[in-house]
Amino acid sequence: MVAVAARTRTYPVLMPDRGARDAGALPRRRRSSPMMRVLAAAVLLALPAIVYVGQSTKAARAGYGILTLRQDVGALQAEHARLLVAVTALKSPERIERVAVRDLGMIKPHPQQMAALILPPITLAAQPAAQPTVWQRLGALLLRREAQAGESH
Amino acid sequence: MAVLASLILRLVQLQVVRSSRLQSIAQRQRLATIVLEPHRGRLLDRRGRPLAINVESTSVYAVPSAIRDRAAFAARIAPVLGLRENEVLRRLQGGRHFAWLARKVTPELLARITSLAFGDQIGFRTEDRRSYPGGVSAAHLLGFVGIDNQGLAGVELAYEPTLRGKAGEAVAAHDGIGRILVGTQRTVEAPVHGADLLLTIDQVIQHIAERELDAAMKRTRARRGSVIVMDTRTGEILALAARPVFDPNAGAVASPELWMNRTVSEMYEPGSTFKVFLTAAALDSGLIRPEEQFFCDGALKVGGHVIRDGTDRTHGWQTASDVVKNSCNIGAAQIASRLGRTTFYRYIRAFGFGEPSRIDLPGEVAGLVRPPSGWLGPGLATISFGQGISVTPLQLLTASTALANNGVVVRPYVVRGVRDREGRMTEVAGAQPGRRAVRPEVARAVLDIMRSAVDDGTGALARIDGYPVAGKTGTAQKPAAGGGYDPGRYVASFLGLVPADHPRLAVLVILDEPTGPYYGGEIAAPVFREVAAQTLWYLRIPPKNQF
Repeated sequence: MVAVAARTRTYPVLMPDRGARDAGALPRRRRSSPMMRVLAAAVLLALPAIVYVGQSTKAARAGYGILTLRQDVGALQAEHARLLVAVTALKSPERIERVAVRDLGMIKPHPQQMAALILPPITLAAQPAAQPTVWQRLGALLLRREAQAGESH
Repeated sequence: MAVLASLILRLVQLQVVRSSRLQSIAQRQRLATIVLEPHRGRLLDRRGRPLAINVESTSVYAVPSAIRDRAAFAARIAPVLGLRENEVLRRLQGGRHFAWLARKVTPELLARITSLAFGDQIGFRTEDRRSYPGGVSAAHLLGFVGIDNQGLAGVELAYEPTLRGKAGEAVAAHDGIGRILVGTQRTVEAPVHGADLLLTIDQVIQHIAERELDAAMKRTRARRGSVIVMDTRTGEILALAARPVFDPNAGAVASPELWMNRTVSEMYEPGSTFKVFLTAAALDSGLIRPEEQFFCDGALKVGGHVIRDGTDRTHGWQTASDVVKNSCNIGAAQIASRLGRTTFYRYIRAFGFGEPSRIDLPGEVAGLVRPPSGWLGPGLATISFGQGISVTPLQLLTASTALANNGVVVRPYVVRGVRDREGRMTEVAGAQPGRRAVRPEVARAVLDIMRSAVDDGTGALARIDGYPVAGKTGTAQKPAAGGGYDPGRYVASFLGLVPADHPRLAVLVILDEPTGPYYGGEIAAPVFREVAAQTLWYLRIPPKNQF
């Protein structure tokens, strides 16, 4: 077994002479003027307000952008509705018939030219059930055995 | 120091003493309540094709408080709007901040107004304008809306609460020139848009009915006309055409005379088409037998009045079937006298005459069926052939559904269902339980009689290749203003059910006051044939026999 012990080492420190510090041998730190402190405080206080105003301006500008986009959406919706009216008018049976008869020279068929094919009702062929594989059968058999054993206990 | 003190005092006065009042004034100036208009529901045909939709359009208003020289303003804008200067000045006096100048203007007019550069003196507002892309098609059924999109006629009026929706409200701040500050907008109540209505009419069948009616109106120079096509099994109205007609896109400026849907709001004397119901009543009551014969010698004296046939022909001995087939007034009068007033009246009411059919359209009238005590003189005899009784075209057509439905009268309707904005059906109207008028075997017997009227009788021009048709012609004299009947004015009609063995369609054609030929079998039956044949092919109803 090996014991681990903390090793400490003491170093000699040279302490300053008390009398020399009291005599003001070191240069004194310069104190900032009150005006500067007020200014700094004002800047610190004003900064969030400036950021807030800036962000508000940005938001208002974005709002105007959204407003313009809304107007564009409205204009496009109006245009869409107008086009829908035009499409509906173009698809009207009256217009289709006019074009068919006048422009394409189509005529109404005589009853003798038409035939009706009466089809039997469509019945969907029943899908044959998929045959279980050998493994599925084996699994089912085992499950059944287990179930029976459980019931007998 | 004094200045500083006064400034501080003023500051306290503004910020503390008058704070709440000034704040509320500022709020009022900055915040505005915005009405969020709902979109009106659309009207769609039975296959979802649009019949009435909304198009956004711009309306122009003035801001009177921003106009310094009102006279100059009026002088500039009045000619553009087509108004008189006085009218513009009158409107400016109506409000301080808002006065309508023109509603739902065309893009061209809007461009002209904008080019005048009125600045803040005028404003624009987007509104929905109702548009009927089919023009006059189904105008009487659809109806129309007013300037504020409120339903004024037809389905637009009958289903106003469903179509209109509910306005919402929002609050938003606006800037100095009135633009909304989007970030401040708060919706207080969201608008509820109107629901779409899925109608029973089919745009194509409607077109067929209108095309054939227009051709007949031109051919016969009739004053008025109408065609109604109904699904006999459900009571759904597949087409409803009436002439003269108005354009619902400009419904408010059309003559009010044209607004009336005469198929439900106007009564007429049905004439010989009514013999069908007389025969049904007579057979159902057991008071006559089908093989029983009545003699027609061309005239019948009833209480001092002489009744004649329209053609002044003598039909000789004829059964009830022959009476209908030959449209014999003398035979009908004899059947009615056998039936008696009370029994005949009971059957008339059982078929639904004398009361509204309860169709979901506004302005329906009950018709005029006097109680038996009011059938004066030859009343019983004349009512037997449809004179002296008044019905609406829709009542007559609805009554005929009893013959197609084993004796049960269905309730007609024009709205199949209600759809929300996402296209989900929220309400569905189906066939409603009807009322029995006659026994099933009687209904089938009358249908066979009507079939013989087309195959061998007065309705020969209604025959359709491949389809058996059951029908009855009608030619009624019109009442004269001073009493009695006007010899020169007639209503020609044809009532038909097709295919006669299992009727799917009931069609009524009416031509009012035609010029020239006026017999129903001559001018109304061919219209029925065209409408019914094309509708049968369109609905893929197979013919009973190949050609």
